[in-house]
Amino acid sequence: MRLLIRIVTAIFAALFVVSLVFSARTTTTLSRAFSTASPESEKRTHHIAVFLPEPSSLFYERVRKGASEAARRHDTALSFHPVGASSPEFTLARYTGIDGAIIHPGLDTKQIRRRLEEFDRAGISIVLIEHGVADNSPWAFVGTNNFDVGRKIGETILSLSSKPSDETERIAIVYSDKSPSMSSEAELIELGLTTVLNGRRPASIARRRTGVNPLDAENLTYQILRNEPELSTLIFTDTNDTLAAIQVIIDLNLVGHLDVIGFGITDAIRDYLDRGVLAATIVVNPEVIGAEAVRVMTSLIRDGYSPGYIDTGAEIVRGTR
Amino acid sequence: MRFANSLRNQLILSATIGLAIVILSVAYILFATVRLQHIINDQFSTERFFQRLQSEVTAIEEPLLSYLSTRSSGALAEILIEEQTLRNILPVERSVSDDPFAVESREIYFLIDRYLDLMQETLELKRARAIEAYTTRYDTLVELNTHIVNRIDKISLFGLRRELDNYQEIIKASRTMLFWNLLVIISAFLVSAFWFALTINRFTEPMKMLASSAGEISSGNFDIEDIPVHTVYELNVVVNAFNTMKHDIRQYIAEINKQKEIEQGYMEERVRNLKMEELLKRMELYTMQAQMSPHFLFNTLNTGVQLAIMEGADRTADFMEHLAAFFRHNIRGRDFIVPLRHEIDGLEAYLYILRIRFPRSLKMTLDVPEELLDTCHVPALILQPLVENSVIHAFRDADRVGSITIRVRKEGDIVVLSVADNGIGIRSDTAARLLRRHTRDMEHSSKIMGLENVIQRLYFFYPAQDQQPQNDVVAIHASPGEGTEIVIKIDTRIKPCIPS
Repeated sequence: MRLLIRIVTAIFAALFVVSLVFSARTTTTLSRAFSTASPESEKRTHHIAVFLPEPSSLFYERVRKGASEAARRHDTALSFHPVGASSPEFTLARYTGIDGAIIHPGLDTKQIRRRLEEFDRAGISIVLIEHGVADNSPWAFVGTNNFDVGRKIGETILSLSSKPSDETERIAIVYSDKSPSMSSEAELIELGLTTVLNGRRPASIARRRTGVNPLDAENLTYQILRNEPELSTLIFTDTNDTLAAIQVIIDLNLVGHLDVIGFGITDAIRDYLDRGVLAATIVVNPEVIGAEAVRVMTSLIRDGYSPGYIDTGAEIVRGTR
Repeated sequence: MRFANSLRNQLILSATIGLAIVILSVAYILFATVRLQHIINDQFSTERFFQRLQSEVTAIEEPLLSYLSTRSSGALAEILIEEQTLRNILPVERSVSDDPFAVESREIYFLIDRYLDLMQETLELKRARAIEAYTTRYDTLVELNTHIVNRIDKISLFGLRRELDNYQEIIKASRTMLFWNLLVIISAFLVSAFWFALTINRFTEPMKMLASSAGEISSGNFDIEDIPVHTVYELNVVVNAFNTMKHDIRQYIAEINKQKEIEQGYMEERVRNLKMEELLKRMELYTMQAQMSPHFLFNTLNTGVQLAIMEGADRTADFMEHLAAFFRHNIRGRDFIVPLRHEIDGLEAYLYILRIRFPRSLKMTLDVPEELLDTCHVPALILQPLVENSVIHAFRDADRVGSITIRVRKEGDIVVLSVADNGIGIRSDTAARLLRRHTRDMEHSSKIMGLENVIQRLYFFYPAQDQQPQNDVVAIHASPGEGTEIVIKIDTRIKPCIPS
């Protein structure tokens, strides 16, 4: 009887201790996890603001991702803000105590130029990404060489075309507000394209545009297929537009009716390339753009100088056709 | 030690420990609950801080406009108070971290700093009456104020959303904590309860054992285990006293029993001596009575021997001489234990007479090693009655030659005497009756003759040997029609019991 009572007492004592330990551990975990000053946050040396176009797209999400990963490596904290004259976060950014600003200039380069000067006067370092701004100040630039992109597109068109050499190559390039970096450098792209085609084949290049609406490309593609049967090549400069357009082509059963050169590389696009729906796709590396921008900015802040131009490269991935 | 082990102190200690466990558990649960409240409260402290910051930033705008419009000293004082309030509540430490919320907060603090700096510049421009400059600067201030308010809204919303996510986690964790706390209080209560039970059991168990042992002792069983001594002083005293009492009583009883046994032994010895004395007296009387006739016969026989010699009847004279020798042997000496030679001499005289009496019908053999005759001692008159018994009873109604063999030998320390015949034997019940020890019936004992007399005398002389069943002093090996052998075994190491 006495032994039984002792055993039961010992069992409940053990239960008591275990409960107490788990309860204390839960309380401690709660305290640590939800304390006002998050203990997981790490101190960083510099604060860099990254200004990207709004609304964001897959491309800019990947830029953010690349930048964030690089920030950890370079002991830097990032804050992301919309760019543009209408964004007070951008226009008043010089008052926010940032050490540097990585800016995607967007389309309104005149406004941007004024703000860049304000940043410069406030002693804030600047790195431009994807799109340069013509200015007296030599702003550091990290991005894709769009002339090179245009050149590679031209070479792709020549390799895809089976037309006689005297027949005009009818090309439409679809720019998008979702990818302002490409649309803002449309001239450079087309210059690269014509540089390749010039003297080898007559070409007619038409510009088309889509807005931020992701369904714009569907309508545009539908209109082109209906009204412009003479088009031989359709080039997209945004991943979402590429996917939307391909879907329309498949739905209308007009695969092969014209060569489509897309933009970006996703699983769906890889699939379209494998199936021959897409002739090729322009692949740039947004993560590298973000990462390199942070690296250049960190170098600017710490050393006072950095490379003035970083080409993150672009390539054309061909489909099975 | 005595103080610490006292019943009262142990009861107080046990109660204190049990209650302390419960109280500490309750206190811990209270602490955990308060801590949980703090954690939940802390979740919204940042939002409350930003709300205050926002209200202060908003509040400064009106006196600023008022001062710029009217140069009111009251508005200026209000601006300065608001400015000081804002500067006081703004954190001084603004280190950069990877937490987006902290980074956003840092930007807001710098924006407010800059807003206040610009406001001071605007006030100075107002004092300097630089109308265009302070007007332009005011536009920037309004824009900045609006931006700050919007940023605070944004960060508050972000914070609230984050805290709402956290809140779910907190609720989940708090449920887990409540579960463990419930287990803590339940187990604490049960531990205390069983601790009490253990303590009570520690006190009551010795009492139960005491009661049980007392019952055993009252029923006469003193061979019980000692009650183990416990740590409670008062119980130890009682238990020790009980154990001591039990030991003492057991010892007293043992002593009494021993004394009783001694007394009983003494009494038995005394009774035995009395019996023996009486028996001896009777035997002496019997012997005296028996000697009356032998003396007369002995004298008469001597006369007969002389007469036979004078008449030239040599064989008769020889017979009568042996007969006289036999009677002389019987009446001479009154020793109880005699040398074997003495016993054999008497027996030989008797055998001579028997040979004369039964020259053809009885064959007698005496086998006694010479070396035993002087080294061994035996009770007097034990062989002749046995031979006589065989002559009288063994060959009754027998028409064949009877045979009686008397042997003496030594087996180790035992002298074995046997008288064997080939007569009609003895029935087993008769043998058993003959071998039965006579204890009280002295009247009967006084009349016993022959074989029975020998047996009872052997019992008398060798009581101890007789008590060893494997070494009976006398045994009868007989069966009807196959003769009888009476065996006497005398252990030479045992001194015969001879009355003083």
